[in-house]
Amino acid sequence: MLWLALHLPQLPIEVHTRASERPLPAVVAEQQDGRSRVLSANAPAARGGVYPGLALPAAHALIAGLYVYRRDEQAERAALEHLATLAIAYTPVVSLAPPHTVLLEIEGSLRLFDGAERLLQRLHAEVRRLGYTASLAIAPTPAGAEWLARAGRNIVVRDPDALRAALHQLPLSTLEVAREKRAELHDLGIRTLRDLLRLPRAGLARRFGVPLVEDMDRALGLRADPRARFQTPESFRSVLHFPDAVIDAEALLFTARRQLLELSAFLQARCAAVRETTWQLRHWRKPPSVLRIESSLAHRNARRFLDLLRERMNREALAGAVESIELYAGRLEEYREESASLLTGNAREPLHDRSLLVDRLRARLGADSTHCLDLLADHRPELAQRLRPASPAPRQPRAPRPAAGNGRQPAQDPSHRIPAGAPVRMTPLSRPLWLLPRPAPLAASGARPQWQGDLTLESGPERIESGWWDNRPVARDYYIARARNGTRLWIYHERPGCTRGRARSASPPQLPPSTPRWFLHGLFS
Amino acid sequence: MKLDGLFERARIWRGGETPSAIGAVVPTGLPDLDALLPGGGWPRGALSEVMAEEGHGALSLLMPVLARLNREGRWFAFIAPPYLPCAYALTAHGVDLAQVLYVSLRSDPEKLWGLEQCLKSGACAVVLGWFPQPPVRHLRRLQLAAGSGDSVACLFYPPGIGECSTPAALRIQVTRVDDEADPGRVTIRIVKRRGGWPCGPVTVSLRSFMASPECSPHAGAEPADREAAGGQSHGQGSNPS
Repeated sequence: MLWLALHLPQLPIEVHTRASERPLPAVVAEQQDGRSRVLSANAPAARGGVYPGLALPAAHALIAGLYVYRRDEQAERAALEHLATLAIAYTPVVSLAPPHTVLLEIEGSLRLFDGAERLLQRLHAEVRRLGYTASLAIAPTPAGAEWLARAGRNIVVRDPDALRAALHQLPLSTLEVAREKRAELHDLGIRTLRDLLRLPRAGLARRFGVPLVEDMDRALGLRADPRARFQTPESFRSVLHFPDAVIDAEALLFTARRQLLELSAFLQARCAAVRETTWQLRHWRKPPSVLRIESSLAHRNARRFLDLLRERMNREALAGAVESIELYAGRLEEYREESASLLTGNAREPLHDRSLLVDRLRARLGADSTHCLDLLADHRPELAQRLRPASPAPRQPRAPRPAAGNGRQPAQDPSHRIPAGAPVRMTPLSRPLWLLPRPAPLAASGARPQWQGDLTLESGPERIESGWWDNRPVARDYYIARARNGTRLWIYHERPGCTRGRARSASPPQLPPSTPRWFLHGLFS
Repeated sequence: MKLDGLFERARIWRGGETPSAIGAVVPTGLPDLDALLPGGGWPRGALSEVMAEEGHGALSLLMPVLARLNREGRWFAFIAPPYLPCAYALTAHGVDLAQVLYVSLRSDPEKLWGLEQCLKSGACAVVLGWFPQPPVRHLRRLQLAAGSGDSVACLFYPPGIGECSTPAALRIQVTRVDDEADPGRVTIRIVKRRGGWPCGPVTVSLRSFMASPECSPHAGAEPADREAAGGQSHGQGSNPS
């Protein structure tokens, strides 16, 4: 067993300042002995001379405009869980050691990650990219690794003897003991763990409690130390607060990127992908802006989510300055790996590229801008096709569809959509390439329809009389007509008396039967 | 004989030859037209421009290209077309409907942005755009975007836009010929082609493209559907008055 401890010494302050790219001096303060004291200070504050334990008024005196936060243990816990999720990419055995440590059992992963040092460096870089300060240590026992990391020793210890030697040098402050007891130990002249271990065990247990001795046994590997495994949650939620309200889109995107990296790690840990992310940007005294960003294909690529968010922000003005930003992703889907071709030349599957283009167009131009066409089995031309939100359907579905009972269409699709790519036996009909979204009435002189002059009927009629069963009956005679300038049109005239009259059989036909009403329905192009 | 020897040694360039630097092309499906086009077809990864009155067969001209590129599995993007593409007619032309991407846009900047994205993405086999007049100031950018993908990119304008210069690789004008016997006859004039001078006109028949291939309205055999339509006589005057 080899354990890696990921310790976050600055976590209390970092959960508050992580949202901004260049944090200002900030501290988390806590009541200790009736006085407000600094619990955790970020790097800019530390540079100004503020350190943990300093009284808050003194900190204020050192730095003008110091940001002071109350401790938010819930946020710390959430951050720890996000990091544990990230750690699952390295090993399946991850456990939380609250308040500020995550433990990874990495014995089985050493080979994959090319050794303990490489693994440690890689994890460290990833954690830093998320905006955390971390110290990492590797040791044969979980508690030992945790203590080493807590003491800020970034070392790799592999065998128990070396662990004992390393632990010996740790200062007493690494131990989790009550303050009075620590003071008592200090008064006894004990400065390091070596001093403590030299004392007789029985006496130590009697004076300072059994847990202290047991803790030390666990750290040294003399006592079993089972840890509860961390389980990834079912959905992902991440909230980040800004110290000052932010109006700049780039600053928002910087924060969003950190959250998306966490989301991506979460999805990887769950072997999942998502189609939809929801962003909630909270404003001061205004309802929050909710941005729902959909992708036509489930994926877990952080950069792609960020691209879509950027396009969306370009399109929509926010209601005001943003105080906090929340990312939520709920409906997880199975992740389908993008397959590369074994043979060169024949590049990768176009499905992902196609989906990427659609997502980008929709994010920038609106969801109602981009459509695919479906062919439906209906005689009425306007009902023989349908626009549906564009999505790149794989050309050959991988898994065969579940066989619907007695060969019918699946129940969720009531219309008779003809699946794309299915062999369609076309009845040979002349249809123009262009259809008008709605048939446009044509003027007529006498019986002759007109469109930029008289029209000459070239062929027809093709009668379409259908739809009496769903209250959209049509009774039309379609002709192909030629205009003066040579344009060929697809026109029809409504057969009076049959059209609407049948639907409302009581009322008389609206038009006298002698004047046919002509409509333009399409252009041959 | 001596002259032939010179040509064989490739030291003399003849004006009619297309330079070898012409990139990939997709045949138009019309041998007469292919003969005039550099490389023998629609250029890929470069802009083409088609000037035609709406309803004169400009879109039919592209249909064989779409049908040919079905197997690439990439989008056929229709950027802001003037009307709705007819699913039935597209299918009849052999176009895979699952690949048709219909993008309806209102403003010109949106149109240009959408076109550019489609051209650059590499996810489109064919990109078609419609403009009331050439976006002269943006053509160069579009041409560059087209160069980074390998789509057949075609912009449609109404005719009569004059002879303004263009960075596109190809600009043709399509005019319908009024021919009673063959409604699909069009004249194609090549206004600009890369590696050559304007030429044409060539008259080709889009007859098979005008409607579904099996059913040209003037085909001798009447499809069975006609009878189902009530067996009315051709032409006008058949309204039940």
